[in-house]
Amino acid sequence: MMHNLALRNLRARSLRTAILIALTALLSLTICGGTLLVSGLQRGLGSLEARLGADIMVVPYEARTKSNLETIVLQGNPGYFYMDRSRYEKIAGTEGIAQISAQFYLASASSGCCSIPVQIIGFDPETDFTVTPWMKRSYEGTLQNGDIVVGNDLNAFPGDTLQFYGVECHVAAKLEKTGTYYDSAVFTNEETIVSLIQSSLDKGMNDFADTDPAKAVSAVLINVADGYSPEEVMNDINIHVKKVKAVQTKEMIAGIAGSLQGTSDVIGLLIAAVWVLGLVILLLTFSMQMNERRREFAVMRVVGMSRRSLAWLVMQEALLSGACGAVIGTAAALIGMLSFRSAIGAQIGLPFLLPGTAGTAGLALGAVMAVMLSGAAAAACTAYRISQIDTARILRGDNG
Amino acid sequence: MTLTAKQLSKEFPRKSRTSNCFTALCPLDFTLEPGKLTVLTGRSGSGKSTLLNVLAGLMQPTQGQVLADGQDLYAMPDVALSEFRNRHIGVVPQGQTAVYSLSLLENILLPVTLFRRPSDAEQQRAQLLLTELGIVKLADVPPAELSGGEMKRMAIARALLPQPEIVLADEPTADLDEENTDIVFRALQTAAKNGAAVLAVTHEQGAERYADRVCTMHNGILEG
Amino acid sequence: MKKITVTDILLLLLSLALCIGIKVIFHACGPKEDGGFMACHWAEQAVFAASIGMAGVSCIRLLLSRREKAGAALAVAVMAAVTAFLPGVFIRLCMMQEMRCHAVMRPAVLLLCIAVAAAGVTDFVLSRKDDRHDA
Repeated sequence: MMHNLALRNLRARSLRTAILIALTALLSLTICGGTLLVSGLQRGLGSLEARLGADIMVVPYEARTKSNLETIVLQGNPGYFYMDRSRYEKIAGTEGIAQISAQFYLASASSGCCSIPVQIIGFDPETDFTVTPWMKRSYEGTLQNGDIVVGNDLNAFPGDTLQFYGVECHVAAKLEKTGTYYDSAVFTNEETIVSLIQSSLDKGMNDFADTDPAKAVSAVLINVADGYSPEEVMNDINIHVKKVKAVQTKEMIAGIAGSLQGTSDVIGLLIAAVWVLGLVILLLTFSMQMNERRREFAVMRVVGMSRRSLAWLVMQEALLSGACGAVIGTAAALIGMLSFRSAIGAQIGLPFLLPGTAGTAGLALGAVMAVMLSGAAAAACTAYRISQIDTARILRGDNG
Repeated sequence: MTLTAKQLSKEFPRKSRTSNCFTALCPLDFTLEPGKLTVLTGRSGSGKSTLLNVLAGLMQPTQGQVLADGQDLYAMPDVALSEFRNRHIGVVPQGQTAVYSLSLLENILLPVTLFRRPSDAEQQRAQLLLTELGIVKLADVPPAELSGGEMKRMAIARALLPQPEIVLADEPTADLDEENTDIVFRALQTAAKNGAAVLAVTHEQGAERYADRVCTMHNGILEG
Repeated sequence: MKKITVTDILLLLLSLALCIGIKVIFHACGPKEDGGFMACHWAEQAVFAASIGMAGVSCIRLLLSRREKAGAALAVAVMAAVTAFLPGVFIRLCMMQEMRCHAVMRPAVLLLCIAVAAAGVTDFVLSRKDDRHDA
């Protein structure tokens, strides 16, 4: 019956209840949405780190090095540049290298109708240590000539055929989501990309017209051996190998990490501000309710409700409205974030990867609990004050 | 059940030039006997309502005891006292008192519904009280739509519903016309006839004719 | 004067929101460099046409009797359910998930269609309840 009474009280004061629900919904929307956003950014950065998977990247000096490389690797703007394969041999001779592999870049003009240019990345399956481990999770086989593996954001599926520069490529697998630009890239082996580059050159659609695809590489990825520091090896390459620029991947990511920290801080501040504001308004609302319903609470005492039960009644009302608002707000945040995650990621311009189902459910549950606890905490003060009311004084109309 | 007040006094802290406190009840002894309707009269501020609230277990006395069949109300913990009040004491508070989310009938059933689902007998008794007090047509009306007099009669029905052994009514006829005043006092009389110890605090002229005993309060002193 | 309920208004407003939104706020990708349309353009056109139908029926039903209104509400709900599948299922969209038609248009259409369908079904259920009360 007590539970029913709390519900009845909430229903009877529909405007006040609606305000309480709206307030808690706003709180949970901010908390759940904000946390998901921060979590998505952090996972995006982690994913990018994992996908880069190398300590050092070496690119041709003409590629205007870092800025150009970052545009491709971090911002996802398709591009390409080449250097002679002889430089790869020279780099490989540098001391302190544990793993080394070459990559080949090509930007598609388009992959048919309804597409924006796609970054095509070629790798050498024999030496590759960055793409292969990731690809193995989705594709066990070996890429044949003409086979491609597509990123998760490409609307192509295994068995489909895509055409790049007139060359038909067979989609062998679709990679799992990373939240980075790699999701909209296409991967293939060295043999296939060489034929694609050749085709682009034949069609006059490649800026590097005098390149011999068979003798060109775009970037060299290096993992440093134990006992050597990446900085040491990077400096060594920059000093001893001409016309190349070696960059530490950590340095490349530092800029993104900085932006991410800034964005996370702003979101954190927003959550804190909304939370504090929400708590203050909740406290005021509960306090106003106490004054407005003093005689009602006094009647409850008169008919035999204990102080503890009276406090529990107030808490029940707060918990019910809080739970309702928290669920609505969290659901709205989930619907918004999950439905528009691509748009949000694109808008932020940083790697963005939302947590998986379990992680998202955990965050949502956490947001609901946090908001309910905040509401309960705000109501607890009022509930305590109500439990201490002087029934006789209130009934005599004395407000003191 | 007999309600006995022993050496009961109540003082309120109030800063004035002469004293730091105001004495609402001078030490008094008082017994509310079962089967009798006691009417307590007196001028405003004489201490009538204070005595009623102290007897109801709603206001801790400064000194003295309130004993219900020998059981000291103020020696009980709050939960036990609340339960005791629910089972044995029916209080009609001063002014308009209602839970606004409930209908008139639900307000009357409140002492029961707080703890359990009302039985058929309790539902029937509620209907009987509604009829007796002339508010049967208003059973489903929310308190916000009731007049002061209707609200008062609802409070009386609420107090009488569980057939308490002690009934304490503070100004039960304050907003009522002559006809309804008669109805209310007859209801209180019936409760007394059924064995309850009834105390009605009132300003009402002519309330004495319903009473088995009349007492008067004057500046915190009980006479009669 | 026919009684206009909250769900009547909601149904009309949501249909109009879909109708206007698909052209103004959550439209498909822009034209290609050569001026031609991408596949998602036709999905946008189809959603627009369907939403005009929904808004029209939502408007006309205000003039109908209660039973007819309930039927029309159900029809709008069915139209919304079908419209939800127009982009991406019945009509293909662009190649990249990050493109506007995938990132903005499809989820927005899906959510609004779910809302329209929910409002339509709610209106239908409430009308049936009223009918039973009156019987």
